[in-house]
Amino acid sequence: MSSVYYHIGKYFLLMVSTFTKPEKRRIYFDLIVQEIDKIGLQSLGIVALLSMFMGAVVTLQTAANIDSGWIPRWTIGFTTRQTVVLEFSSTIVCLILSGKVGGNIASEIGTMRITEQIDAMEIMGINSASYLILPKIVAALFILPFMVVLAMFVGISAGAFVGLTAGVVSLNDFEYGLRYSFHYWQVSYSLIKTVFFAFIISSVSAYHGYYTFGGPREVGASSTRAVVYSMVLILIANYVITQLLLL
Amino acid sequence: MIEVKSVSKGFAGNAVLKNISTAFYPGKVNFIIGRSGSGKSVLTKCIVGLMEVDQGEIFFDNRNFTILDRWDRKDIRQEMGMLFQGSALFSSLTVEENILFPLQMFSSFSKSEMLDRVNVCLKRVNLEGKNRLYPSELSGGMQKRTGIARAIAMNPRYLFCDEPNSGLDPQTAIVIDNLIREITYEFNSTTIVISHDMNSVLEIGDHINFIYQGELSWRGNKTEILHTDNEALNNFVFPSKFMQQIREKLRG
Repeated sequence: MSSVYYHIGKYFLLMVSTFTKPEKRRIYFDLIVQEIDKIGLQSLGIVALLSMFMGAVVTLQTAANIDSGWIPRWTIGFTTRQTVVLEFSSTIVCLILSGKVGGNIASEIGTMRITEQIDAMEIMGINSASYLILPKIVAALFILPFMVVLAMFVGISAGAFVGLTAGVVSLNDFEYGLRYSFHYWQVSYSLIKTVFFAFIISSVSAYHGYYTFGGPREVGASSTRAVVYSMVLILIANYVITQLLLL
Repeated sequence: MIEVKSVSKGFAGNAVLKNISTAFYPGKVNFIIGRSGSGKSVLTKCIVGLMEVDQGEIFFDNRNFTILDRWDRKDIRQEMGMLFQGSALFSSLTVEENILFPLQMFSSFSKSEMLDRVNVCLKRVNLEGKNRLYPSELSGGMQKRTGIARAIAMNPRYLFCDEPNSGLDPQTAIVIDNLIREITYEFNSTTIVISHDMNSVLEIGDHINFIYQGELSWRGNKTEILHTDNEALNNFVFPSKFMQQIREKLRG
């Protein structure tokens, strides 16, 4: 148990170092732009692909499970919307990104640690935590909500397309279901969750990478730990935020 | 000048450095030598602030480094340059960007002034025209020279070299040794070299510190090293019969 407290304390101390005043803002701005490309734009393909198939499958699953004539067909559009907007686009996409982006962050920083590149920065007088981690956190906080909105759009569009081509729902019914009992708050809730998940993915992965000691094997282990811890924390945060915001 | 006063450091109850006091002089190539695990790397990490001492003080030209927090240390750190054992070049940056890095972070030079400075540094280490290459495209010796160029970019008062010759062939090692010596004299920097390489020690060592089992066992210069009766030092510097015969000839 003391080990858990030790890591929590160490994590918060790292975050304090990370959020101190940057040396040169212009350089940090450039770094943030680069990280937006790495974290966000380079993951657009996988997010779009995943969203497309998940939206399509949710539509087909819902259609296949409506076997009562008393349940209206617009329920398919409604269920697809609720699933995609409330959970899939934020939680599942962020879980996937914790594997791709989190693993990448941990291995990048971990490799810099074991090859003494971080020590080199420290000796130059650079706050290495701030230089390496802050741009990643800011970039993730900025770009992930956009990716989640994209996931919502692609998921629902794919659901509508598959529903129509498979002949399980008409466009009018699907659209009615999409609009039924819709509140903008549902999108806001999903985006609020995404901001927390983005922080978890970037900061927890950076923590595991930053405190890598040893050789390439340890970098691999750090990368794995980063993904596992990020995923577990995302699931816990998802529960807590849902409890706080929806109930 | 860097002064180390009564420095001790341990890990999990094991004392690695025991009450070490010594000084490193400006314009001199100061060596820290010792067997693997003797504590020389820990001593260097304590001096540059990568590790905190348990006891004792470290002074950089009468500025007590040990009592400063990380923000106040920044000024002194900007006067340091370090060549790492594995060069520690930023692998995602080109040679030019590596040398530009400290200049961009801390200097108030314009872009063209910075590039001029980069080219001066590259010329100094005989790597003109290699600006656009990445570290992975360089040989071991070239990586070390790039590391030196980066270390001298900010005109350091204190230069640290951790095993500068490791992994290099003897001829390239001599090139690096000479470069370190020339730069030390040129910049009048306080240079500290950690090394196992006795060829380097006897070639360019002005002032030598021998660490044995966490203690400063011997201090002196390369002439005195030939005449010492310190058994641990003799076993370290002249471990083979061949080397002992050379020592006898040199003494004679």
